[in-house]
Amino acid sequence: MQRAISLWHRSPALRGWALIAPTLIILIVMLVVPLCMLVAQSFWTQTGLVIDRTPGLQNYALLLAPEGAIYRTLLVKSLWISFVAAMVVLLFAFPVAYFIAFHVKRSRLTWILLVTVPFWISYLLRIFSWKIVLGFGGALNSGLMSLGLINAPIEALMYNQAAVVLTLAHSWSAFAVLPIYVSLQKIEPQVLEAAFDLGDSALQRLRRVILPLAMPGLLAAFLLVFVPTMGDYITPSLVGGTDGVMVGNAIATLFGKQNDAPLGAALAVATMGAVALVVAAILVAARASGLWRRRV
Amino acid sequence: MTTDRMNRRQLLARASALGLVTVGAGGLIRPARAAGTGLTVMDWTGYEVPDLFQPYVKKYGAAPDITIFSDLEEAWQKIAGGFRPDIMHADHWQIPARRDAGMFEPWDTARLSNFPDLMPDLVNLPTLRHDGKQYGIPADWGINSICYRTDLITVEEESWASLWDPAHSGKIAQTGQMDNMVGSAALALGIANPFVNDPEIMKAIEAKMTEQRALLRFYWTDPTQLSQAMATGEVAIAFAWPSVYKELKAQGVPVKYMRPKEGVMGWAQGMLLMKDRDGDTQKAYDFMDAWASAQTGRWLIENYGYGHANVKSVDGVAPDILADLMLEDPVKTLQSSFFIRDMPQDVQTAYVAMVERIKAGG
Repeated sequence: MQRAISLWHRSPALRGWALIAPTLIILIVMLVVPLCMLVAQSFWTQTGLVIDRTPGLQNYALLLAPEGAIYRTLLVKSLWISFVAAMVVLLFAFPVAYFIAFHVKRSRLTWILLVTVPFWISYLLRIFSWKIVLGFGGALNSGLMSLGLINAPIEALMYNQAAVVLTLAHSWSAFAVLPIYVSLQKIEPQVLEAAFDLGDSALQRLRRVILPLAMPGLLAAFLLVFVPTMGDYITPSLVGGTDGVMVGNAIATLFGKQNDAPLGAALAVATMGAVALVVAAILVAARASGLWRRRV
Repeated sequence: MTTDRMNRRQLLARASALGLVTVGAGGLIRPARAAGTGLTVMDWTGYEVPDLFQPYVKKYGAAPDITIFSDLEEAWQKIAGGFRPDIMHADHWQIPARRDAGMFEPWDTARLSNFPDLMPDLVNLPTLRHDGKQYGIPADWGINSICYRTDLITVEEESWASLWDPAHSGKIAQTGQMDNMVGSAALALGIANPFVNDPEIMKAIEAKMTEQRALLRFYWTDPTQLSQAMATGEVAIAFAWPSVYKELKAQGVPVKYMRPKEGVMGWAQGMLLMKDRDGDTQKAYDFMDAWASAQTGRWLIENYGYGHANVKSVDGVAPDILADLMLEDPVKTLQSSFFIRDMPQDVQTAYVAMVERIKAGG
């Protein structure tokens, strides 16, 4: 006992491990183990309710076969929807972050808190409120009709990919504002003044100084939106209609209604792989372009 | 000199000790057990009301533990995950695969006083009765049809084909449930039983469902979504549950519930006694007997607009309510409606995959 206590006092490493133990154990139990189970499951087969645990590549083969075309289509469509949603988020989040970082002098915390306000409401309710705004008898349609701008409700607002992109973009916007804000805030005002003194116009300064310096934040924001939205299935099932189905919906039905958990697992693994590839490509491209390392 | 303030080293030491304690405490948490009324029932949302099993409440003074679900698949998954109800309630055609997997125990029908009053057409469904053993007891059943806005569209002839009418394109909603989707397509095509392993039939059904997809506003997932869309006029014609029709009518929306020339669609459920159970078997039988009673049936008809397997349950119900639900002659409605009698597992798997593929746009 005495020795254990003395070891405890002498070894910072031991204390360090003990300190991170809860997080580490939760991560292992809740993330690493299930992930390994998922990968293992993707090599099995299921017929009806019976699972055959003989490992094989048949699920992956199916995903590549002509019968698996629908899954490939969904995967590409989901990557596209998430990519567009992430770009839309960047487009809207950047000005907000810029404003808070450079133009708000006092009570920045209040502004940042304001950005998070949409997050005080449940995710599901946020999606539902978009249904109310975009819906057939919704706020937008009835508003336009009462103004006499349209005669019949615009049906194209809902149940398509654009509605999914819009809803996802709004739902995840706060995740983008914060990292961009942090990277903008780190830019020294002198640098901006120097750019100005050396003859840059406001637009040139944005392009040549601010954007490269904010790139880590922009990339982080992009990934924070792109990666999680890829697996979303609530938004497409509520506002996507027949056109906005995403790969998450297919995975959910494979595990549920279709009673084919192994194929669902394979599709989930393939989705993770596809996301990883796209993310890696984006990071490599960012690094190659030199934006990543540019220092002033 | 001593001080109460901790230095950083002590803080770290204490924090890490706290961390270890937190982890250790996890081991102390034991799975909670049900409160223990001696019977656990897993049932659909809305079926937890005591009016549906009054005789049981009278005998034992309290309702059993009821766990509700709104998605049958979710319920099966919960059971697969280790939840052990004594009684379960499911679409009859979903029963055989799980019966063959040994999930259920046949009921001893002699122990159910109301069993002789149950409609033979339902009792003898091959999905409920197998090898002379009664695995599922029928209770609730009902009809499904097409609901449409009489002010927005004109229907020349009441038929399932109207869900495929290009004139209503963009104003049609279809259910997202496999059995009803395939059923609608079969009725429109004039196929009496699509749930057989026949590639020709499956191909025809697939083509019909694919054809419909282009005309749809959406596949509805919950009845509220449909009734709201129909109330605003976003959707003018849809496959609908009677409850949706009842709700719209009550709101004063001009709607009609079709009597298609091909017949309406029928559905039925079976109550199941689980093999792996911890509860009191006598209580399980009393609960089942209460559900099978005419009293329960009448309540179900009057309040939910469903039918009930007990032939005596229509006694005393107002004729207009019965007419609205096509229950004036329940046996005749049941016999004339499109009804899934049996669905082999491979056919079910093929159709589920087909339906999900079509819904996803394949």
